[in-house]
Amino acid sequence: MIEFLAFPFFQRALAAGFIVAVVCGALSFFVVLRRLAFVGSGVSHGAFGGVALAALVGAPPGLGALVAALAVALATAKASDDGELTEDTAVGVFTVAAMAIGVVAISFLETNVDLFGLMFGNILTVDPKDLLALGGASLLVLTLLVLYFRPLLLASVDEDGAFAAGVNVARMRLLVLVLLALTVVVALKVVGILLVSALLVLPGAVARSLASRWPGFLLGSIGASLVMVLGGLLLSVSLDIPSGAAIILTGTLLFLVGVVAGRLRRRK
Amino acid sequence: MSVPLLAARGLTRIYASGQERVVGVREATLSFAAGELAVLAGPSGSGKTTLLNLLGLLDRPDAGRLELLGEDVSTLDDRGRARLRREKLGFVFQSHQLVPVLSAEENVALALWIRGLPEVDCRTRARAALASVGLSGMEGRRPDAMSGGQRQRVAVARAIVGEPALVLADEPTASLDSETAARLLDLFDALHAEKGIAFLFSSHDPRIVERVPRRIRLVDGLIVSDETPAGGAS
Repeated sequence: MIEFLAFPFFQRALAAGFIVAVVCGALSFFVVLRRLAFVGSGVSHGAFGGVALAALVGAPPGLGALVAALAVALATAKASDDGELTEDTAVGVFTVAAMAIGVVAISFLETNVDLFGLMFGNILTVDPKDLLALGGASLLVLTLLVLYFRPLLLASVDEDGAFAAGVNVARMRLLVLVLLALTVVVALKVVGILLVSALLVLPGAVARSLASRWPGFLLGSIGASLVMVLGGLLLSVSLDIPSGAAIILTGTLLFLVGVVAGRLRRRK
Repeated sequence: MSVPLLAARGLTRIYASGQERVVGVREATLSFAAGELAVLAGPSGSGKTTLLNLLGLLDRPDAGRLELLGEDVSTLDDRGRARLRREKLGFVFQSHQLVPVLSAEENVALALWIRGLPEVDCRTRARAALASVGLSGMEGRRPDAMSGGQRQRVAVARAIVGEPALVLADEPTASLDSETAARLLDLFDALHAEKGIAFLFSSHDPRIVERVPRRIRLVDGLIVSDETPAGGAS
């Protein structure tokens, strides 16, 4: 397997995997704490419409995904701020609308779109341009997370308390959704639309079952994400299976191990 | 004559409920001095929470005027109201939502962290606040390893750690047994006496209400009495 390290495509895959793992692991902490698994899944599925529309007009798919994911995230934030819908209802409505637009757009396409790649991703096809965009977007997400970590933490658990303490709760809600949208686009190439939500949920779920304090929870989430992505990547090239599925299966196994280990630890 | 801590004149809050308009609070007028201890009493649905939310700048009135330390806050924008809440007020909610992955000390310090104060100051003040609510030695405990009464004390420590002029508490004893509720009221008394913090809280429990020196009673959103009985102090 070591011979793969000599190939530039594999080096880029490792670098992309590392970046995606860190950013998804960090955000997964908030997704699990704030119970945003469904919202994360919705925003990622919403990106499908953007990619299909981008293919129709000849725009870069990443840009289409970003615009669609942001549109779903912003519409969700607006609808739930107005108090008309809950966050999960709002994202459910806007996600299916974005996906329907995607299906209509694809029906007008004369060439085939790499739907399998779009849905499940392929980290082994990451090119230098992808890597640069991925690095930039990840840096932005991580910077925002560091800057707003504490108000985000309080608002994630206790919106009333955060509002009373002077935190702009609506802005924090919007920030989480925008970070989700950006991260979805970052991870799209690696695991695809269908599986990106798993990268937003599994690392945090693994860490939550093992750690009770926040530093362990956060670092555990990033660590679990790294094991998932890099372990899955190695599994993919070793067994010649699709990389996205290998990453998710590694994460699922890690989750099951984490649940068992957490139960054993609590019994002691 | 000194400026009152809070002065409300004709505060009214109306909610839309389908086609109906429900009056949450009707022309509430009251004045609250620095260092006072008072209770908003009344049955469920009498407007206690609505009035507390208005007085705590968590909600805006549809009519009326509210002054905090002589400053008219009725016309302040959201940012100005958030600043005043941060600097002058503390809150204890019925459902004390402490962050489960933070220790008691970190939960209290979080109120200062989000104000951008230095880490060491936050921790020192959080420990002092926990000591003042009788939780010395429990700084490292997580909320799920504490009793309901202890968690409520952490919530009180979080409310006072910023040294507010006034702490507003919405039914703080509702989820506590009567003994723990009485101890929480003792704590309010002690903090009020030692630190001069004013406390205004709501309760529908007559045993709690009777122990408070000033009792403001609400019925259907209207203040029907505001009394300070002789010897009413606990």
